[in-house]
Amino acid sequence: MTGDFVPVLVLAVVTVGVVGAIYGMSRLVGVDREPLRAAPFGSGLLPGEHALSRFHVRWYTLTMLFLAFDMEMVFMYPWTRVVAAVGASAVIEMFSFLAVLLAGVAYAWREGAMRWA
Amino acid sequence: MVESASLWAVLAVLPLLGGAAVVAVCADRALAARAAGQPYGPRTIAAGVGSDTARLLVGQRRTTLAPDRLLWRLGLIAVPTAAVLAAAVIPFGRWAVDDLGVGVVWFNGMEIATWAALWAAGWGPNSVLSLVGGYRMVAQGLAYELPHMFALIGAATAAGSLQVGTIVAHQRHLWFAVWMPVGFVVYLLSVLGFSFTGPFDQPAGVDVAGGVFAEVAGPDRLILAAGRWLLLTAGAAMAVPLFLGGGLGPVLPAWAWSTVKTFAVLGVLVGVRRSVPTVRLERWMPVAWTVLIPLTIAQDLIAALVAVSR
Amino acid sequence: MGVTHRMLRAAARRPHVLVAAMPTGTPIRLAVEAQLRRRNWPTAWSPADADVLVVCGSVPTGLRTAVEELWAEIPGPRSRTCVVAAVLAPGALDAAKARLAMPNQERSGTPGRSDPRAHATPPDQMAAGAMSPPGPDPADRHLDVSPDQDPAGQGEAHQGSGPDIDQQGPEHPSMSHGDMDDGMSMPAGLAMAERGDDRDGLKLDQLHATLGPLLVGWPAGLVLRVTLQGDIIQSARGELVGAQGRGSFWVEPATRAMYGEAVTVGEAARRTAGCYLDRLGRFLCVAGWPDPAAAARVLRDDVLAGAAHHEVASRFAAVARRVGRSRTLRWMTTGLGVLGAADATALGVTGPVARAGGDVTARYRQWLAEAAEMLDLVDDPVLLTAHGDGRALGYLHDAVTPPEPLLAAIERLVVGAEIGAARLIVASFDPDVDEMAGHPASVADG
Repeated sequence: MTGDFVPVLVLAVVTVGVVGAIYGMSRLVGVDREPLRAAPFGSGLLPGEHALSRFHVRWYTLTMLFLAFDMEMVFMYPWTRVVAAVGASAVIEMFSFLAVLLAGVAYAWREGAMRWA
Repeated sequence: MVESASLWAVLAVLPLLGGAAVVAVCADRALAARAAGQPYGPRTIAAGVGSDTARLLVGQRRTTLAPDRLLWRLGLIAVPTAAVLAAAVIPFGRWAVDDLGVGVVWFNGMEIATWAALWAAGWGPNSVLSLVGGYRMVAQGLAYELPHMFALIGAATAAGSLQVGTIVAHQRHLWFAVWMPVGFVVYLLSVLGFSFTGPFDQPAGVDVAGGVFAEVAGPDRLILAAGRWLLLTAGAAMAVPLFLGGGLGPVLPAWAWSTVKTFAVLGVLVGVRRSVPTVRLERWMPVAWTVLIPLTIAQDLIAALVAVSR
Repeated sequence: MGVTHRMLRAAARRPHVLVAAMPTGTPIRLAVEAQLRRRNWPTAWSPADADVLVVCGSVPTGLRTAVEELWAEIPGPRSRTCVVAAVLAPGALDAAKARLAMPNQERSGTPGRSDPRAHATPPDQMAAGAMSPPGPDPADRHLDVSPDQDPAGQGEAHQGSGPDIDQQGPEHPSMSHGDMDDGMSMPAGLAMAERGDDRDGLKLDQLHATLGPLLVGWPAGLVLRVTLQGDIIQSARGELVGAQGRGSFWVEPATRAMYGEAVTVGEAARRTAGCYLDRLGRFLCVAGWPDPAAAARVLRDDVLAGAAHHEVASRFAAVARRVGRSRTLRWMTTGLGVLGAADATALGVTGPVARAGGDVTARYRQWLAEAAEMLDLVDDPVLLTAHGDGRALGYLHDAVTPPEPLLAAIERLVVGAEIGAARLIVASFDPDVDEMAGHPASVADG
């Protein structure tokens, strides 16, 4: 089973190697090995403070809902392989579960969780 | 039907995917040049691509004040890497680098990696515009990801397998795109989403001076731009086995059908990219959740019923 | 060096250009944009993507540090040029390109580069036909000006070509120290973000950022200082920098007519139509729709160059149909930046914004409608003054209005908007600094 992933691993190594080669080539032919140290672009003005901060994402409530669905996906991927064998009961169970989650979406939408500006 | 090729096939992935991506870039530029009344012959366009590559290779790298170097660099490198790794499970005609039993999940996982990668690339330079771009990618992921997964699951359910080769084999009589059009269209939209292209280019939007691109120069910019087009190409190529019957088709060999279909999908995606203005997430988010998710779930229900009744 | 030199030459074949538009530099910007299109040189969106910095027009005092800062942020290989007259654009661009391809043109990582003094233009960069402005005293870049960050100070900042725009922060990042951490509280000499109340009553990090003065698709000379929480604007304070009271390029024929010169209706209408097309190009660029934006700019240049009505009418109709009927664009702009007719009057806003009396959608549609009207008049040989009724004069003039009321409206409407939405709102107002008070007289009310 783990042997299945050998080609993928090799491909990962090759890809990172090619990326490294691009950087290497740029070091060889580039006008300058030292990167330019500049202020971040602020339309011509310098920043007054660090940009890295606790960025207030307005869609944070949606992330909760997303997590619920994401957990559901963990079940749904294996479910696709057995649904034909198990039959109608598998379909009913999965889509009842999805209906519950969709009720959550409807609630979140009504509460305005999808608007952030 | 589809078999994992020998290990040497690994070396073919980058040229094939990269070549297709370069063709897509050229098509995109030709359309742009035509709109601006500029010459758009193949030679002009190819020279432009060559010159742009040269300038990024020869150009100086750039760092900002107190950047998060590690995350920044990791994010940039992860974008093309994820695109190429996603392509590992895509069959080219009868061969795939690795026709994993969980191929669909693997593709999904690689594509999700670009969320993190782009966020890191936006966070790294300690720049407001870049940061906003990075967070826009996370918001964009929240919008497209679930419909995308349901579209993938629709194809997997219909075939009763997560192996891409098996999914192709199940389309011998009828392409999934024909009887699962919603899943197909949603899949194409999400390809534009995860490659931050076309109408879904807010993470790299002009309104934030390029967002995740705002602070990167030289080879860093080359890597990120290449990653973006590789993602688009990998997404287009994956649409072929998932919904368009892979290498199946009359007369021509399987690899030729894969190529033709991939370029057709790429052409559609590039056409959409050039003909629709940027879709702001603030407006797109409610549509994705309240329209696309229910629609794709309904699509999956149909797929499940078909699978059970077979 | 052989390979590098050859690659430098290949790269210089198609340099990416950062266009810094100066107030009063409109005709120069138009010439530069037309040249770039002809040469197939793309426009950069940020210094990181630029090879050439093209300053369009002479740099007013208020924008000197901004231009120098932009230059300092461009990685090598790079070159700059300042175009002071439209006819000089081709030569200036040629010279800038030639400098780019020179081997060893600038080893910019060498110590001299991070020295602010390096930003003063060396004499060899004075190209024939192009003149670089004298660099500012390097010390200027390190002035610690404490800006007035009090949001209550809104509305007082609309001075014209006053002193240099303030740098924002409490302290400047010290470039010579680079990324050294100077202390726990001020890494790299920069403060950390502080917290402030948000609209939901939460205490959250605030970022202070500036939009403008030198941004792609941004009106020349406009600076909008915003407080952000996430990507939402909490408060905004605008400034108009670099006005010289010479009047806008777009109303110049009408102004000449007002002073008794013989100007035809066609000439004035041509200029006004060009103004709307220019605006449309900027707006569509910000909306992330480059192809119709490019088409609008091509049309603009053709109209201003004197193309006859029949040469441009059908092409304009095609662009107007595409833009006016786009459902996606309408969906993205509907309900954005609503300024009703009553509010417009209260703020003293006139012109197309007041006539549209609505959201961003209403405003771009108003431009399309008025541009079509103007295009119908471009071949009208009647003298503007001979029209006699005065209304024609005022109407033709009215595409550009004093920017102060527009800025007041922008400051109000961008609050609560996400950055992308705010950019669309600003582009839909498109204040023209050149029309600031100090302009000899106004004929807007006929």
